[in-house]
Amino acid sequence: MIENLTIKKIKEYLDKKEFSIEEIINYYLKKIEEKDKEINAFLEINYDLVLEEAKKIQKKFNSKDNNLRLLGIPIAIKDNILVKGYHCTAASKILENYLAPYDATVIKKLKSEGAIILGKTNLDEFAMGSSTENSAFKITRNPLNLEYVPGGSSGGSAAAVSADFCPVALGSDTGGSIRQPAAFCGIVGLKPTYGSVSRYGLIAFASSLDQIGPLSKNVEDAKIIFDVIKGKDEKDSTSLEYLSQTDLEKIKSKKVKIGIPNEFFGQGLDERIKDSINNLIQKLEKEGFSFQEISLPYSKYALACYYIVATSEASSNLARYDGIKYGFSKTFSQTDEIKNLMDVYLKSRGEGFGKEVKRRIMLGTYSLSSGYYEAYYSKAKKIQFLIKKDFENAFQKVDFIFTPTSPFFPFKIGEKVDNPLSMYLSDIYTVPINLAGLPAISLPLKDKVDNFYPALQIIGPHFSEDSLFYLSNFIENV
Amino acid sequence: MPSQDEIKHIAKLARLDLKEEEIEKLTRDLNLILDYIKLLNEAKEDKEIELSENNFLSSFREDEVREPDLEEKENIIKNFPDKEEKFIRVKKVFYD
Repeated sequence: MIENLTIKKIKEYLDKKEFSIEEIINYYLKKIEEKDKEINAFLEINYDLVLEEAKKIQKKFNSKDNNLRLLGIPIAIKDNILVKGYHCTAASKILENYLAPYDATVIKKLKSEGAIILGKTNLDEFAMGSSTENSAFKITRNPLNLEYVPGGSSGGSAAAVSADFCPVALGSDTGGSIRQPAAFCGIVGLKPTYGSVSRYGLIAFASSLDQIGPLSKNVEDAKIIFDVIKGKDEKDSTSLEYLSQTDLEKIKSKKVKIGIPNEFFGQGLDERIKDSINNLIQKLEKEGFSFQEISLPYSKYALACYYIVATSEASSNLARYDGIKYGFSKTFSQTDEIKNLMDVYLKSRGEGFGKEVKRRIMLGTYSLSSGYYEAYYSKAKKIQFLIKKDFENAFQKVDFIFTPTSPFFPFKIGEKVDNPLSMYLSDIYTVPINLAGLPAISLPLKDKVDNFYPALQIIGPHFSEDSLFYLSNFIENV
Repeated sequence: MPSQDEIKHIAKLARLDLKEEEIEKLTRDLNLILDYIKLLNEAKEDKEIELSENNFLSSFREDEVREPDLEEKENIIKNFPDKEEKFIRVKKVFYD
């Protein structure tokens, strides 16, 4: 019965020899071939390459070289993470024909544990968006209801896991891009502590906020993937040695306090999501957990702060797409003569970048420009510090913080795409976490509303992923 | 709040060629967004704020030559849009 498999289930089937690695991979490839034309989760799959890998990994498995943690496990990768042998487009015309010269560190790590890369998934262009509608190539549909968005920017990865095209996927999160699509697609998504996963080989959006993380059907699988991809990488100077800050004994004995920040449960939050979280809180109180109201006063400035900080960094990070070293290059035109180097830059970027990307580059450039730097960028950095301090103070009193992941359920394709500000509001509960560098997990709750699930975001202090996993796992089973 | 002329200037700084309709739309969009961002001016900063946030130890490595991966080098060269052997060809950098 190969359906909705998890890593554990796949390993069981393989160990008991009920299925071979090739059979499992073929199951997923067939499903993708049949159903992905409706969903468009994938941008690139190389069937031959995948089957070749499956054969190699099967040999490894048979040879008893099988202490590897992900032997035979297929995984889909967001197309802003470099995988050798595949294109890496960031869902942008400007990188449409770009071939990844090397594997990202996280890919190296997954491969060394025997994982099989299934293909590259769709995203909002350069990870800028909350619906995957900003992809230059395809619109990914939510598997729970095809007329709705899967969320973004890791919409392809979320849809792939939700549609059971693979048990797990990798995404990236700068302002909510793992958690929000996980919420919209009814699955689990983790944004790790900043610095715990190497960004080497991740196409940069905002380098002080970006993190790669897992999307999965359950918490156990998210932990398995996180444990493989985490760790200091000398190629990423912002990565850190992962030293778990967890008091498992404390959680097991339920002597933990969970904070409920009032700013995250006010106006704008769908009542049904609020009710669902309140139901869970009551259940957990019966189980012995204690809850406390807290305040994160500067969180109301987080979205504004994020849209200065992230776009400023993006304006710098995207300067490299200039038509010179790689990517779309406009060096000749029949109508407008490309007269000089400046024209190459202007036209390559003007034509190669999509609307949302240009919007954000412009916003970032403006915020950093002479005359505005103090008023915008400096000011935003000061507010970021205060947002971080709010969390630090909160974690003196509580061990975890519960918030909704998204203020609303998924919206229809096309509904918000022409209204940038309305789209930006999707991330109102997720961006403060990136600004503070904290880890957070999004969990689907069981009270289904139409086709969708309300989602809970659990935030922990830096390096508390193990506690987050424990608590989340408990909630999954409650 | 930026005027269309300011937007044109920013576009030049960002090396983005924008059509007339794009400039109009972007001026409107950015004005809307910057209007929301004015919210930041309300925030009180009466506390001690350090802008230098990193307590990281120096993450520099030793200044020693490391040979590149030859396959990687080949792959990088494959991606050059306009090349001659292993060189990138560009329009002239110095103007008359």
